[in-house]
Amino acid sequence: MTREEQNMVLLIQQARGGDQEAFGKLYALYFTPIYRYVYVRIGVKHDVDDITQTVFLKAWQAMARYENQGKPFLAWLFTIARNTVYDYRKKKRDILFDDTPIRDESISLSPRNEEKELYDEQIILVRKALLDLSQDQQDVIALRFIEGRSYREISSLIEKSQDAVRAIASRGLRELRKKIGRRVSDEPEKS
Amino acid sequence: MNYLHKHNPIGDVDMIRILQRLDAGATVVEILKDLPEENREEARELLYVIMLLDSVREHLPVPHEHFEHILQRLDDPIPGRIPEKVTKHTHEKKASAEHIVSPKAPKIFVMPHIPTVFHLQKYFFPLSTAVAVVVLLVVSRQYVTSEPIGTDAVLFELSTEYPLDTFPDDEVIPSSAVSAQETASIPAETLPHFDILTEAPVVPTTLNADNANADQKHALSSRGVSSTPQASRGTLFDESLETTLTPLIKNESSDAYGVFPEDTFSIYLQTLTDIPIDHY
Repeated sequence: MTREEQNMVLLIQQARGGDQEAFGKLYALYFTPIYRYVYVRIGVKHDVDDITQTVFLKAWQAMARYENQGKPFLAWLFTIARNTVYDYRKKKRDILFDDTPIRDESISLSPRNEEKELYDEQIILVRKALLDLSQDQQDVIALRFIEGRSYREISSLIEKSQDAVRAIASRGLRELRKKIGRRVSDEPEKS
Repeated sequence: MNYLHKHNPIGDVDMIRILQRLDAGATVVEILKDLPEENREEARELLYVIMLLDSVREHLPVPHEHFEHILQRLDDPIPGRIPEKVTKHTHEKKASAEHIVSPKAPKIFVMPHIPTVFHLQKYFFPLSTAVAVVVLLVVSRQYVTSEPIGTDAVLFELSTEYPLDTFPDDEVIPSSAVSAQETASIPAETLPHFDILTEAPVVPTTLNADNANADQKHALSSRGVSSTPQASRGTLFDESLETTLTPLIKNESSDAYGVFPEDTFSIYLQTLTDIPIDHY
């Protein structure tokens, strides 16, 4: 076991015992990946903040029941996040997608910036199309191509074989390609 | 992007191979080069999707939440147990919210995008076809106008399929009771239609008692439409009926998708059933 892994085991043990500082360190380590995952799956910033908080709140309240089964701690957090997102989407079927581009509005649109704007729009299209994929496809695509995790890691996180994960990724990508193509062709032509 | 390319689309196995090569560090050019010519365009588009996904990461907002915010939501520092205080507080909060807000939210009927008499009869209960027609006229105008459905088209369909004089009694008549021959015999241009804005039925000016042929005269008179628009107005939408309906028509409680509040419908239906059938 590496020193890093030993530290992690210690932090988890302390957090299980009710050590807020230890849990705070785990939070700092895993907040960003969980936040990103939730953001991709939800797409509404205000709700993403709330859901991510809820995920960690649930984790804190369930820490005493956490058992190390040889899987990464993130896998446990990820399971909580998946279930929380699932509950949210079940309650709120019509999600108002937040497609506000993250851009400095003070910058005037030169031809180069116009290209950037077009590219941004395509990214928004991809994010919207992602929400239409199946649960598994969304998970795998988000973790692999947005989070940059390996198939091995994803396999551990979602408890499926690597081959299954690759197949899900493959189908998800082809589905995305179709959806994006359809949406691009649905867009009215810009003058 | 051209997505019309349908020849031998890339399958799971090919796609997995592409992904493996990408993971192994192969460039897009190398991957495309090794593919059959007919699959290159599709593969290029798939790789473009991957590139867009990769860029999504840059578009994700930077999270600002701090652990302290989470702790503020906790009253009990001991994990694994939800403190009684929190639970009680939550219940109190929920109860007070329920007290303020109406305890029973109004039920909503989701109407089909293009409502027809059959939809009304199916979704509610055996409704007189005459009543259903009038309901539909109002519903069409009030709830469907912002959709590119064409209320005139709906009304035309109604007036051809459900001529008012075919159901003088208060009974439900299936559309099959109106023969295709009968509807086909009525020229479309002779039928009255409603102007959405003025509410007044408009009879085509090209047709009047003088220039109408015998069949057309019969078709017009069978629908209570005389040679002047003024006379036709009183037949389908009697003044008193219109007065009764106006407040309901003006009730703005819907959206473009045809959501129809049950309460409004109940009041509306009650109003309609109170009106003697002769009005129709």
